[in-house]
This record gives sequence, C-alpha cells and structure tokens, in this order.
Amino acid sequence: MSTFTSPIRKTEPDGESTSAFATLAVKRSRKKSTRRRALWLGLAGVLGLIAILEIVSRLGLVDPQFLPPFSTVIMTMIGLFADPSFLMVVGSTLLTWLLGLSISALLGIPLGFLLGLSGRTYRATRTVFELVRTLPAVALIPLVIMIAGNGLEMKLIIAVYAAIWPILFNTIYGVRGTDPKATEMARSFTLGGAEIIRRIVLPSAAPFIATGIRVSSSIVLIVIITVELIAGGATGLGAFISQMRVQGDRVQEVYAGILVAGLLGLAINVLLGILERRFFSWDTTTRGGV
Amino acid sequence: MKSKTQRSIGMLAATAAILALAACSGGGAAPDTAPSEGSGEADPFAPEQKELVVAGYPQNAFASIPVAMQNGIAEEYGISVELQPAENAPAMLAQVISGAIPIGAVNGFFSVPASIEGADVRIIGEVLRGTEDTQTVEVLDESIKTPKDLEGKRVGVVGLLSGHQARIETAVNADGGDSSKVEFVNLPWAEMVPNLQNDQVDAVSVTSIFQDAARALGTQKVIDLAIEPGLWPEFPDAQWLANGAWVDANPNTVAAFQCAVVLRGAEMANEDQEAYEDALRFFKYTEEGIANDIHPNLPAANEPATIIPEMMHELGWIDEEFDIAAITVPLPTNCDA
Amino acid sequence: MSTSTVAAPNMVVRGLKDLSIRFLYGFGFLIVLILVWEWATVAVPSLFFPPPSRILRTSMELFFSGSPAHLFLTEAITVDVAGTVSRMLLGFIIGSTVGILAGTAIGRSMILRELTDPNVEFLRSIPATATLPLFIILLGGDDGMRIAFIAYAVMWFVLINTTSGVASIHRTLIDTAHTFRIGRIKTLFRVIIPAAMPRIFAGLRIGSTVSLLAAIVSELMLATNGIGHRLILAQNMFKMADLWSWLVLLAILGFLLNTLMEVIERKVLAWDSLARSQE
Repeated sequence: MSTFTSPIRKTEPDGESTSAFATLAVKRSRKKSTRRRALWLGLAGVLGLIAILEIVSRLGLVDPQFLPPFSTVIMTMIGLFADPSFLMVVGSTLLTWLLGLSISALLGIPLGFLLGLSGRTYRATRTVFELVRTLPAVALIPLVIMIAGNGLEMKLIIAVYAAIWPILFNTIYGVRGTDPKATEMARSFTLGGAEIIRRIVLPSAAPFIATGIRVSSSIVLIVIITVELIAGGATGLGAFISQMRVQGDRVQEVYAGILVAGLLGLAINVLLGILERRFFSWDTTTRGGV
Repeated sequence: MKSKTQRSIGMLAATAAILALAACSGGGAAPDTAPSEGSGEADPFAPEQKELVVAGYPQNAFASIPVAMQNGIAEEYGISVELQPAENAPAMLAQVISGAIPIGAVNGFFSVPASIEGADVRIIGEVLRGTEDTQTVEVLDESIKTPKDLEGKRVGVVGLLSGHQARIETAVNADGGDSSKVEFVNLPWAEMVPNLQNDQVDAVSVTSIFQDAARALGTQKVIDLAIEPGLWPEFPDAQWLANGAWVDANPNTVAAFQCAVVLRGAEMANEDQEAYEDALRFFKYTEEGIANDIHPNLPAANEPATIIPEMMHELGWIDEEFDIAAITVPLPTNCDA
Repeated sequence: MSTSTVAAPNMVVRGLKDLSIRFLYGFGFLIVLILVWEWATVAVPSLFFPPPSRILRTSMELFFSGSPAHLFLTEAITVDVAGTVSRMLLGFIIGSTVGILAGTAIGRSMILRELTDPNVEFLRSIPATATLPLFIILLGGDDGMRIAFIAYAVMWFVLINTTSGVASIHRTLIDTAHTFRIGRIKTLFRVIIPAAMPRIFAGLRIGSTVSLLAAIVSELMLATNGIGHRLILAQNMFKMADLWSWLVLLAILGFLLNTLMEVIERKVLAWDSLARSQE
C-alpha cells in the first residue's frame, strides 16, 4: 500500500538498490541450513502469535465477546468459505478490484507516456496533479455517492482516483528515464517516433510500469474494501465486515472477514510480485519495498 | 526535439483527460423550470410509461405496492409497479435526482435541502405517518426524565441531521432546553442498544425490534418521535419523491401511480387485512412476523409536509423558509373516472 | 566584486523572467483549468459541480467568517480541522515511534526477523481500514480509538521500512563502531539509525499520507467532530458547495503535509550526510 506514496523519489532507487544488494549478498552467503532455520522460525512465530491470541481470549484477559479465540475465528472462516453466498461476496470484491486496476492502467499508462514524452506538458500539469493526488480518495465517498449512487460505478471512480497515481508517475519516470543515447541511435537508424516508442521507450519503461501496477493493485483493494465498509449497502467484503459488526453478536465473523481481507491482500501482493520478478528479474533496482 | 504541434497536442490531450476525469459520470443538470402546478388535467388511465421501478424498503410501510399489484388496482390504470429494495435515503435521493429511478421513498429532511440546493424533485405522495409509541427515544439513566434532561448527553441517532435528530432537538427546545448542547452520534440501528448498554451513549432513538431490545433492558421513553402531544400529531415520516423532469414528461404516469398506489393501494391496505397480510408475505415476512406486526399509518393522501421545513428553519438547518407545497403534486381527483 | 555589481540588474531581470516562467509552468495550467471549470459550470449549471467562484465564497464563509477574537476562524477550523489534525499528528507520532523502535529491533536481530517475518507480511497485507470495525469493537467510539487506529495504520509502513533499512546496513559499519569501542546504545543512535534514515523517511513519508487518510476514515463512523464528520453532514444536507470546499481544504492540507515532510526529510538527511562526511 505504498499507495499514497509519491512517485518514485530520487532517494528511493538508491536506498532500494543498496537494500537489494544487501539482501542479495545476505542470500548468497546463506547456507541451506539457515534457510531452513528461517522457515522453522517463521512457522514458530506464526504459531506463537496464534497461541497468544488463543490464550488471551481463553483466559479472559480480553473479553472473548470482543476477542474470540483464534480457533473459533478460523473455524468461522472455514465455514464462510463453504458458504456460496460468502464466495459471491468475495468474488464481487475481486471483480471490482480487477476492473479498478484495469481502468487505472488503461488511463494511467497512456497518460504517463504522454506526460513522460513531453517535458513541458509534464511541468505544466504537475501542480494540478500534486494537488489532486494529495486529496485522500476516501473523502470523495460522500460526493461520489450523491453523483453515482452507491453501486459498482461509485466504487470504481474512487478506486481509480486513488490508484492511478503510482501507475501514472511510474510510467512518467520510466519513460523519462529512457537512455537518450538509445533513442538517438534509433533515430539515426531512421526509426519513426512510433517505432522508437515501441522498441526502445516501452521496453525500458516496462519495469517501472510493472512496479506501478503492483503498487496500485494493493491500493485498489484497500480503497474498494474501505468504500464498501463505509458506504454500507454496497456488496463486497467490506460491506460484509460492516454488516457483521452492526449485528453485535457476530464478532467472530468480523475477525474472519478481516482475515480474508488480509489473505486477499497477501495473495495479490505475492502474485504480482512473482509476475514482476518473472518478467523483469533483470532490473532489480525497480523492485519496490513497502 | 519534439515539434511544437506535438507538444500542444500533448497539452490538449492531457487537458481533455483531466476534464474527463473530473467530469466523470457528469451529474444532473440544475433545473430552471418551476414545478408544474398539479396534475389536474392528467389522465391516470393513459400512462405514458407502463412499467415502473420505484425504490423503497420491502417493509410494511410499503404494503400499498403489492396490494395494488396483487388486487388488480395497478392494472386498472395500465401500470405495473416493482419495488426495488434501496440501501438508504441518500442513495435513493441520488438515484432520483440523476433520473436513474423515477421515484423513491425519501423523507422531507433529505428532499427539502436538495430542493433548496437546486435539485428538481417533486413529492407525489405520502408513504407513512407516525403511529403512537413506534419511534421513541429511550434512556437507561433514571435522572433523564424529560427532553430537557438530554442537555449535555450523547444521543444515538440513525443519520445526523436526520428527521429523528430534528424531532429530538425540537422536543428539547420546547421543553425549555438548548438543543445545541445535545451531542448526536450517528449509529446504525443494530448498534443502538449495545452502545446504550456500554454507556457509549446516554439515549438512543429506536423503532421496532430495536425498541423492543432497548425496553428489554428496562429503558424509559423520553420522547415519542411519531406522536408527541402538543408538538406534532402524526408525523409525516416518508414521502414518494420523484424526478422533476420525469414528472413533467409523464404526468399521466404520475397520476396513475398516485391513484393506484398512494390512494387506492393505501386505502385497501388499511381496510382489507387479508390483502395487507398477503403484501407482507410478498415481502417474505414470516407468519410470526405478521402476527407481531403493528399496522402502519398509511395516509392515502399527499398533504404538504409543512412541519418539516418549519422545523428545519427553526433549528437553523436551512437559512430560508421553504414552501414545500410548491413541490408537492396534489393527488388526482379523477381516479374513479 | 565590481563585476558582480554590474551584473546585478541583469541578473534580477533574468531572475524575474525565470520566476515568471516558473510561475506560469507551476500555476498556468491550474488557472486555465479553474477558468474552464468556471466557464463550463456557469454555462451549464450542474448541481454536483458548483463553479469555483461559488466554492471560494462558500469556503470563505465556512472557514473564515468567525469572530475577530478567534482570528476570524470559524468552528469548522478551530474544532473540526483542529480535531482532525491533532488526532492525525498524535496517531502519526505514536505509530512512527512504535514502528521505528520495533523495526530497529527486528532489523538488528536475524532471529527476530525470521521469527516475525511471516506475521508481519500477513498483518501488513490486511487493508488497515478493514480493521476499523475491530478498533470500534475493542475501544469504543471516542478519540482514543481514532488515534490508536491512525497509529496502527501508520506503524506498518514505518516498521517495514525501518526493518529493511536497519537490516541492510553494512556489517563493516557496525564492526567499525565496535572497534572504536562505541557503546551499544550510542552505536544504535549514532550509527545504525542515522544510516537507516533514508529508508525510515521513505516509511514516514507514506505514513504521513496514510495518517490523513486514516483520520478521515475514522471520522466517517461514530464521530462528533472532524473533517470526515463534516463531510457526512454536508452530504446529508445536500450542501454540494460545502462538500467541495472541504475537499479543496483537504487537498491543500495534504499538499502542505507532503511539503512539510519533504522539508523535514531534506533537513534531516542533509544534516545526516554532513555528519557522516565529517566523521
């Protein structure tokens, strides 16, 4: 959810490359046994946390009415996954996520190319983008509800508003970062503008765009769940959590819903991380932390 | 080096993109036309639009619709009416204003400000009026005896600046208190009683099963929001709000809806218990739910809800006096023709 | 010396020219956009998009029509904006302190890192806003809950960045500190944290944006004051111009927050690199 991050900053790639270098160095020096140790320790950490949550609740250190035992939450979650109507709820959130991310990319990438290729346009429009970007997207909920109602359209408008920036700015940086020598050389081979963009600018900007998409993907999820949570009626995981909270005696469902939201977030992070590494593994500097 | 034209094209395209983003999904145009006067000439038997989808809640207050549909009343006027379950009043208001749905159940506390701000909306019928003891403010604290005692207390209401809040404030002021000293907290229905129990709020405004739940804790009634003697008789709780442009374009359909649902549907729901219960079954009420149901006050009328803008003006929620009759479309007189 | 005095007027002219070009670039498009918006919304009035001139008038009345004793500020500023900003700052400070401390501890210890890694990975994947209902269930609906929620949302970003910053410090740097017999605590504050500062700031920068967002979200439920609360009131009263005024104010607030963070970052990091170059 580096979301709200500004575009790539000058400091970031540096910090990134050192840390990437460091992890690389660490990884190389690691032996198999230590890797296995990391696995076991990680597992121990997870089990430890679960045990603590379970014990705190069972001993009544926190009222189980507010913090049900973890085992109850897990059982509730498993029960939910067996319920087709809950799967529909999750599916609705995922579908909205996919739409929101696609629209953000479809708008952000071309606009990013435009602004990246024309320095003046970029400089001229920057103030507007800086101002518009810093407005927390959730603050738009009351306005957009009145304009578009509280259905899919409203969710998408707010999600795209929040998620377009990382894609847009990463595209701009990627395009502007294209090696001018390569472009010049291409020109001397009498390649046309469109050809240069396709053969030189696009490949060199692609890793940046991929990073933007990965960052945006988590923002879209967060915003959609938040909107569902606040706008009430709309369907989806956020609405489910909100409805369960409102019912008072369904606290374990609230926890289970949040757990599912975390699983979705993790799955999206991991999936897009893998895709990015798979296609752009040669360019480690663009891989974002956070 | 890029050419100047390229640059200006880029500039233009960027502007267009931003404008497109900003204008995303447009918005309803503001009205210049004054509401048409009544629908006296309208012919309820010749609707321009035959199939109507209106927004509301599948609850007893909306029984007039299934009653009109199931007993051939709507058919007499050549219309069919489908109730589309709504989420809440702001969502319905947005849909009515944008024209996504022609008619929705929105109370005056939402429609009056929207109208003042320039939305072209008309009230074409009443849905519900208050029935004694159905909407009340309940407290646990025994030191709160009259509305004035709510000063300095936290009160849970569904929706800030809502009709509930307006009536509570009016009752506090009428009792010699200062309503600006009451702190209102927006709570969903189901959280009213738990929050009262946990002392997060001192009073809650509740109806139906939530009122039962509160009283099960041993609460007392401080204000009756439906019928408060001396302050308001049967309070106009909900009205059918329609899109103004749509009303102007479809006067006969409006008249048909008014005859079939507002007038005759409500009359039959009031008089014919069997038809009323069938309507509840249509709304998927259980037999137990039907047995426990309190028959709502369905007015079969469209009296201008003047008390609402008066109350809002008194409380300073609106700056000017508002003539609600000007946006109220009277019921047709030729329903029997 | 004499050459510089001769060149001065020329430089002033050039400076002014530079400034006006920069101004044109900085605000030209914004001004054009506002003019187009004004013209469009006057030509075709829209309920939902009031003209900028009306938004400006509404903003003046909403924010700056208070009594002289309050510097003409209205309650909207002294109660709601102040409420939001103070909760946001408090949440931000608490969240980033916890994040830096925990992040440093985790970053310093390989075992701790391995022990907590999957937990942190999972917990940070939970959209923070989804946990708001939990905060309400556990802590009720008052300001304490809001501050805790903001702190929680901010913490993860600072924690992760601090961890990666601290963990990636080169061993030799710490070994050198040991060789010079610098104490552990001194090493922590004088060597480790400064070295991790750029990464920590990356986290703080995101955290600051998140804190504003979390503050607004937390006020959309159960609040009695704050910007989020006022947004809901404006929605309920169908006050479009009010809503837009609040949105403009929020954009400016977010912009100021960003700029402030950048200035602090530049100051701190500049001092940091200076200190390092002197060592």
